[in-house]
Amino acid sequence: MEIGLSRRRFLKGSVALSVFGGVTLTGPEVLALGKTVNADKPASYSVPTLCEMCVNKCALIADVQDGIVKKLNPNPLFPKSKNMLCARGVAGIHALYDPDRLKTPLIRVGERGDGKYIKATWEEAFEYIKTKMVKILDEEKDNRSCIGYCAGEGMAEHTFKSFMADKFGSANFLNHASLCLQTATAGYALTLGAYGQADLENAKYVIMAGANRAEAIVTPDTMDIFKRTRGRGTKLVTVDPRYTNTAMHADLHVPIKPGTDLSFVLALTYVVISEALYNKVYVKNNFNDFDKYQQHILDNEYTPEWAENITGVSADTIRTIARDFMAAAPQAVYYQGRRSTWAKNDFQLRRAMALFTALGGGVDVKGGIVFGDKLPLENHDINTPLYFNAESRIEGDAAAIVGASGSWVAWRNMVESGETPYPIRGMFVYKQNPMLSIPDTSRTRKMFEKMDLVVVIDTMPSDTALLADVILPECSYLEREDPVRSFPGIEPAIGLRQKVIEPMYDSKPVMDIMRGLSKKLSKPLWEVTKKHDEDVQDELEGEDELAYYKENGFDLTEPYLHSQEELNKHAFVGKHGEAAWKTLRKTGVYYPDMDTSFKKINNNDYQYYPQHKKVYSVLPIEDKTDINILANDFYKSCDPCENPADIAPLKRTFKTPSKKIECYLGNMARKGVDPMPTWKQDEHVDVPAGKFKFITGRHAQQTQNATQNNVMLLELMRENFAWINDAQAKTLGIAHGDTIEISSRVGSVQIKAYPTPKIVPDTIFYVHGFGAKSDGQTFAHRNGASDNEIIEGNIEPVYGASIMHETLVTVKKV
Amino acid sequence: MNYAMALDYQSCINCKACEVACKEENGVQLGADKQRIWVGMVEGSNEGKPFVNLYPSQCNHCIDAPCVSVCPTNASHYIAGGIIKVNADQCILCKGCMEACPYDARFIDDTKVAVDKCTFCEHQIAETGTTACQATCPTKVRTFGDLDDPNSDLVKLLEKRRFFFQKEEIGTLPKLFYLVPEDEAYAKQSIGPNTKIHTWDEIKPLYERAAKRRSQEWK
Amino acid sequence: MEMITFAGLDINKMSFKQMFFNRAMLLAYLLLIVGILGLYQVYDLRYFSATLTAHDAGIDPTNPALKEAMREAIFGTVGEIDRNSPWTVLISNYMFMLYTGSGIIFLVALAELLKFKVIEKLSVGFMVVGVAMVFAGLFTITTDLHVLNIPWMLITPNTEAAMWMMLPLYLVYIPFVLFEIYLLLTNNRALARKLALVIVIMSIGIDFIEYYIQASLFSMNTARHLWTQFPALTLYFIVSSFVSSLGVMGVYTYLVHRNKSEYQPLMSLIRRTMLIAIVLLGVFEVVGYMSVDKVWANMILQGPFSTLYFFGYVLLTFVLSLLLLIKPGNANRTVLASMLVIIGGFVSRLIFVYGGNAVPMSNRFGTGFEKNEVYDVAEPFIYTAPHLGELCIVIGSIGVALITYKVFDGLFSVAKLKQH
Repeated sequence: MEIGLSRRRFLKGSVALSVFGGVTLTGPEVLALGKTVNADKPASYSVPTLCEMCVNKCALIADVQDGIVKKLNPNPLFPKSKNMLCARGVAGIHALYDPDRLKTPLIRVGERGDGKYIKATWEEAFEYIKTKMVKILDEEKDNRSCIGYCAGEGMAEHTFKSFMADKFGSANFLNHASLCLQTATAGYALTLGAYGQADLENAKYVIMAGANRAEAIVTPDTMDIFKRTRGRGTKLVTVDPRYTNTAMHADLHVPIKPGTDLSFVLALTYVVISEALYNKVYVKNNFNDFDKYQQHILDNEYTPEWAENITGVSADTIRTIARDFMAAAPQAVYYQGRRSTWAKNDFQLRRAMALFTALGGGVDVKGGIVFGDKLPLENHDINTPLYFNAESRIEGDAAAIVGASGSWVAWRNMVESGETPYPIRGMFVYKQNPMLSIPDTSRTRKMFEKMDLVVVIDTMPSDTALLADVILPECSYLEREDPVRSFPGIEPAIGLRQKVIEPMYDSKPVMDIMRGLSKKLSKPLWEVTKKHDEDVQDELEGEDELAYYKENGFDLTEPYLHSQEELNKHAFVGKHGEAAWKTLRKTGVYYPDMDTSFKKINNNDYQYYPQHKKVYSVLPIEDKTDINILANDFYKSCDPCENPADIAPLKRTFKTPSKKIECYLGNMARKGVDPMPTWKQDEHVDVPAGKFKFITGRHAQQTQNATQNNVMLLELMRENFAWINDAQAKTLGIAHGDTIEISSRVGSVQIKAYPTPKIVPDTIFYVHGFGAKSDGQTFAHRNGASDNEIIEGNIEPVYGASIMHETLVTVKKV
Repeated sequence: MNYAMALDYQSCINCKACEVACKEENGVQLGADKQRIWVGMVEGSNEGKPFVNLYPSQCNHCIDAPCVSVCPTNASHYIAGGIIKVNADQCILCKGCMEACPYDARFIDDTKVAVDKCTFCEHQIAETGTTACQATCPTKVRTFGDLDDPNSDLVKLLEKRRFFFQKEEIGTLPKLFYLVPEDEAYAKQSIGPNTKIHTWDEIKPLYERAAKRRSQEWK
Repeated sequence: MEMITFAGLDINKMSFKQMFFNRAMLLAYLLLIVGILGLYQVYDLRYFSATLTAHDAGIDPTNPALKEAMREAIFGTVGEIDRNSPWTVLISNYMFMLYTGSGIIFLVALAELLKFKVIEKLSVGFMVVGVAMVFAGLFTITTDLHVLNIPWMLITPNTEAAMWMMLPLYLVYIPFVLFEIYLLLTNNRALARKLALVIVIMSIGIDFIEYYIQASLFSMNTARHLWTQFPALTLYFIVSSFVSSLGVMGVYTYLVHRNKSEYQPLMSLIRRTMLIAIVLLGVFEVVGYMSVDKVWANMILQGPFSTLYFFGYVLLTFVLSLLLLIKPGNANRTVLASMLVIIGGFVSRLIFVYGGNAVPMSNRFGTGFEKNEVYDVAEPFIYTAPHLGELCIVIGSIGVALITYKVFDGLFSVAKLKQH
């Protein structure tokens, strides 16, 4: 037996206990002694609000006792989150009370990145920003786009964006899309007219390839599918290099080589077309250029045997899946997935997936991919000024189509290497952490180091915050009201994020930050515009300057004059009335007839919409002569339309240029993009001997890189480990818990090993988000490794989305 | 009243919402080992194919609980509905109950310097009729309820589904009812070969008799 | 030496200095200081660790103590006790000290009953050694408990729990043994002679009850098969205690009586008794491990404990001791064997306690041991190393025993031959 020395360090004095007095005081009671409780506040109250621990925005009810948020409970009223709150949602309290939270504005005093800041007032921080902005814009002749800006996903993202884009006038906006679901949403939208939602409550056969709904929770998908797996209505096939928690629930798990999914889908399509298993009437009525696609698939001989060589999935398995899928169609879905862009061909992969589901007729059908409905809200019009000297975004030519949310990696690469058409002098970062979220961290750092002004708005001192000149502390989601939001779906609803407690410390909601910033910047920037903008100079001649300034939107403060509560009321009441507004404020949720439709069946099950009011099918039916009723009514009458013959005759009007499902994208061909999904062997990254392909992903206890300092969540998984196939680990002499070094062309990390049969050979995985370097985050600091330290900064050619799964790495034991 | 819980563990996705909800609801001590409830994992591989069994679990609130009978000061005691609680002020830290529990359901709460464990959220049963772990669960693994109430969600569920217990052979009459998965392959993979499968009709008399025998202590 | 006589007891009149400042006492103090340092560490862990609950963060999020407690909660090992192995070396030492001590008392009472003259003459000394070890055991167990709550043993007793029965047991047992010593010391009085037989018989009864309660303490823990399935645990405890009790008696005899004429016959008696006890214990071990659940038996016999079991226990207690004892004649060999069985006895208590916790409780579904975190490894074996403080307390308990003995000896010269 070994004898351990003292296992821990002690903290003397902070926790007191009277051993001999007969009274024991626990640590917290002692801590509480110095704290006065505000007697004016009600002892306890509850506030319904929406979660922001990830992107799902589940409804919750916050219980407050003595001014302290004690518990976050699921709000059963919300159809999207269906009376649940996941680990992260419940742990939101520890985001609110994180001891490391940003508490006051901070201004940098040391070198960029060395973490030396002084506390500042908001006025001082705004003044600092103003001085630099005026100087930069003056030097850049009022080219507003010389200041870039980026935002993480969130309900207040638009508030920030509206200031930077609409009022300030910069074209260089970036958000998570090009790091996330850009190719998936676009692939589905260009093929089917919209991304849609998989109706997992009714689907009978679901292929989840790469998607991991057990660990990357998406509501309501996660709740819907895992109540129906394992012989309860849904056949689930998972296709993944890893045996994920989702794969545990699968009837069939298909381990696949990373980056070969397109080959897999094409082979499925080949089986379905060559064996004529697809829904012929549906295809005839709703497909455009099917003959081209058919010929393309057959001519290229995308046979299961061909795919077997590429994917490592047996031809028999591919045939079985294709046949079973079509047997279950149209209640069969090749699940869209979200986080995407694994390989260069990702856009084509998503197209092929969409077409495959459509071949079975499972689009705009109960149990298939549905488009749902959305409850209306009033828009707020913003008076947008025009800046003559504001240039367009820098990376517009980096890919065939660079969308409004940009191509982060292409943008970063250009700024870092100094190859921009005009200088990028600064950046505003809201709720995003590019240092951890963008591949090739060292280049991201260099990019920030080049800038003259970096402003970070966040709740936590992230790695990016520590590269900022000014850090502005946002309050957490439990301390603010956000823009009211309508959630589309089969059971659409409106949800409201309400303030639970007043903002702590000197933090503010983005709305207030924009109000203060716009007040500070509006006039000085107007002076810069007047000096440099020839259009404005021309138009101003003989005009009243103040009137012109206000009328043409140069008054930046205008959208932020009202409180968020007032704006929300305006947005909601116009469409749904005062009574509904009261309901929404009281319950946090609203949808029509909620009072009569919402029913508790038991503690686990609730009804939101009655069956006949659920919105499964929304597309207008083109030819109403066959069936003389509207699509919605049709589904009400022949519920649940399980016979393909019932849906086949319906000619839908898809939201695509041809009003049909697009097999062939002629416009894309002109931009050099394959008009139809095509496998290009030369673009495929093979794994040479001695190397591994690196892939990344999610666990259910952490959201990207935002929650790694949350003690409640860290307790569930205190660091990330690198998955390596157990047989391969053995030959390399790597055992569980060994520290290994993983190196790519762009970087190298050290991390503990997790040898497991749950990953295919030649592949390394570790979960995204760990390995923060900011010592402002006590618990996340240098804990585990960051994936983006080693992922190479490459983009796919269609949208410029960041390729996540093509980096080759070497592994060695340290 | 005889509180118990059914666990449809086939739905568990190991998201650990229940663990966090338990800690936040009950103010449980922080620390990875300081769990009143947990999701157990058994990993392995079968002919090269990996498999994982997930077992959400907590205190069984046994009818014949060894942790209660070994406690010298009655700190570990039954309350109404047969829930087992620990009165922290009476605990002398002899740790006999921790040794006696076949389920490793107990640990020391260092903030109270006493043994701590699941309480079935008894402080909120009257108000909500459920536990924090059940309420928060995305896939609704748990169903809490009263075995004495034939109309309870729990009894209705037990009447429909077959179930088994953990370590039934120890004879503690545990009250976590694990529902046999509907998928045969998962049932086979996740239920030990010596486990007895029960139906409510068959087990009901045994549990009712035992509860009656104990009812004096359930105050 | 001058004496005072009180209630028939002859008490040595000693100065404070004579009593408390001599070589043996200084050694005892040294051991006790180590024990107190250990106690400091254990209490520090138990009562002053930086800990917090889920509700604490909101009270004062900026308190640096909170951050430290959070860091400990996530990256440290919080608190004194690992939930997987609640009982530690303190329980092993408690068992060893208490069982061995009561074993001596038990053996002396038996000897009195069976009229072994040589023991009768020296019985007081042995008895006091026994009591001293009992005190050492109680000292150890007390450090392991949350003593502030001990009054609940009286206010809300669970009279059916073996753990509770220990309270009345010691409340009776210790005064009884002290009374027995008192009678032995005052044996020339008429009352003592009349009571002798009754007391001896009662004493054996109480000793037996003592072991019975100890055995039920372990066998009530239904989950731990090593403890519950070991056959006739009461007898096992008695027999195994006899071996180490005789070991202590052998060493004590060597230290205190080696220059007396009774030395050789006494050692010879100890040798013979020890031989019998070791053989009996050997039978117990063999039968015992054949009846214990295979998983648990294998953990001891073939698992991570096997080296310690065979080299630290079997080799010392059985093989070497038997070799040393089998041939009569040389008292030194008996002394050496005595030392070996003491070590072996302590090791066997360690193995018994740690072995009872060694198989994780987490095979709840009969499909294998569980882990709770994906990056953990489901260990089929639990061992938590005792921390330094606990080991210091074990050392300190020897000091407690030494002080107890020396105080008795100083006052009553218990090592002297009894006058008949």
